[in-house]
Amino acid sequence: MENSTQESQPRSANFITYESSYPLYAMALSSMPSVTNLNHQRLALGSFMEDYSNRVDIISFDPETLSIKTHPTLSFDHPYPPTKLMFQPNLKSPSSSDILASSGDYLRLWEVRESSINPLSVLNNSKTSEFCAPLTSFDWNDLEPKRIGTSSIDTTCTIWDIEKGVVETQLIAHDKEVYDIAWCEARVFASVSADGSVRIFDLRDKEHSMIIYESPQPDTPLLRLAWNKQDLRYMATILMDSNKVVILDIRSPTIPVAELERHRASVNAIAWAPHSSKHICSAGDDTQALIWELPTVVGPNGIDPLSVYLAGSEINQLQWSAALPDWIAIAFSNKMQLLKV
Amino acid sequence: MEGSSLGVRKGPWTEEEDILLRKCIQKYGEGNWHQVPCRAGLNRCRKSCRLRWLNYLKPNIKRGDFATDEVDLSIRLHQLLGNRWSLIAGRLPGRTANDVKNYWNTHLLKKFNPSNKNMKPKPHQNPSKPNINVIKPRPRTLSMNSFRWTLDENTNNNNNIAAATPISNSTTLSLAASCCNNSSYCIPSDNDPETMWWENLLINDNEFDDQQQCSFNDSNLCGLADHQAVNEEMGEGRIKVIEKSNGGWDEPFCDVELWNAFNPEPENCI
Repeated sequence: MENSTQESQPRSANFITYESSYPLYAMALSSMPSVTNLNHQRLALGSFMEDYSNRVDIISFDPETLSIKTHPTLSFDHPYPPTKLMFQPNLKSPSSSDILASSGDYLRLWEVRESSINPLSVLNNSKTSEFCAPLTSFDWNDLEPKRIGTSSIDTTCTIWDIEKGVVETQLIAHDKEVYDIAWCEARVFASVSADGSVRIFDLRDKEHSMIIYESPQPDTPLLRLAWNKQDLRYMATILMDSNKVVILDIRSPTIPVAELERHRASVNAIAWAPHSSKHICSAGDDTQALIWELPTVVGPNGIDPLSVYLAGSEINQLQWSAALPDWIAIAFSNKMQLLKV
Repeated sequence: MEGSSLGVRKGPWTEEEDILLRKCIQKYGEGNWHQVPCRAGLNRCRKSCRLRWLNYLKPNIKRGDFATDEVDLSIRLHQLLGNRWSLIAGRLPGRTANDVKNYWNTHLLKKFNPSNKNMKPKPHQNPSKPNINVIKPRPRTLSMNSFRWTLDENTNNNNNIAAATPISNSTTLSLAASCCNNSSYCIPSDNDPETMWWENLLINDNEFDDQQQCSFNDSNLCGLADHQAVNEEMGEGRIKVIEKSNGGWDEPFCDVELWNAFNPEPENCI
């Protein structure tokens, strides 16, 4: 794909825009199309308003007709902006109900039916009604779908059994706030934190964790982590206020395999390609979304992106659709765009 | 400090001692505590000098009672973090961890005592349901040497590349890693025994649980001690693995097992 060369041509076949009435941040793509129309891809969009009351809207996208449909009934209130939204991974067959998880003050589960949304549960681990530690992120284990891991500013990661609604385990993962968590297998996950380290945890051995990378300037927070689902040796992470995407190989700890340095401002989001182990997409404050292909040998000048897309303003969120690997969703200011790869 | 360690003074610090210590720190700075008693002409243990400075004499320490907002912040942080005083003090400028702990234990502990369960602020304890133990994993940093060794083996085995001998600088390591990844960027689909190995690993997940609790829990893994020893043991272990084919893992292979879990190419050949 050569998005950059097609900018002068009409790009209607290459991107779809949805404009919301409020700024968007959290975004989720369902892993399975809706049952009524097998081509429709559902998206959940979370608002970002500095207020207690925020909203989550579900819309659907049809890649055949390149249209977006809004569903006024599939919309609900959410306390505080959701820090992350995620649909149930790997639904085996189209079913009439899907489950959406959201994190914010607590981890909440919602049942998304064809025309209504029911709150399923609020998973609350704090024993006092007064204070709870806000969750920065969570990840739904796709091999063990009853397991969700959450990361919090109180330096802990909590692993939930959502079927029983109880905590499986809670680990003090880092020395400072944990900003992101990502599962690798059924029992292995990694997390990044304001203390600047990427640590891997294995639920079979909770007494130890493995630091596989630390930011070069001590205490530079690491903001996001993404594990390559196609090749579990590779992870990508981004540092705070940095224009670099750091690619790590878990077999060679402390040394990044590659540093992708073509953004002109801080990188905000990263997503590995769901169908290819070599591709990764990143987006940032320079309004660019870049798709990279990781080469087998790193040249002396670093790696150049495969394609570039320029959005209207700073891009805050990026999701690569597992159900429709040809499309990437980005969110910037009030808009969500689906880009054809 | 010269003289026997039995000669050091204990007990409260006198005004003169404080002055000597201050002068010494002002002159020489804060590090090198082992030289401080000598330089200051103090008959105190060096640990005592450091603690006195950090907890009492340091200029930015706030004296006096905790302000209401400080108290409020301490309560919130304690509910969030528990008894991790240094973390709490990190958020209270001008207060040392010691100050916070003492203040808490003298003034606030009674209010938040276990006897008053409704108000119990400890965030990770659940009085009504079974206690959820919060575990703090001890972080391990992997030594580069042991990993280079593993990587070399990997490269040699799986890609039949004679190269990738122990690497001396970081750039080459990245390249080597990339080279090693050469054939494995694309998940090997043509290599049947290898794919089966990977599947075996997942299927036999339970089996591994029963066997040696490997994962990271092995002293051989982290390069704290002697890298040479680690390498040698790992070497033997690898050979053992081969002999046992798919079966049981020997102890030192926690790391191998873990990395095997991610590596679709088996390391069952040396």
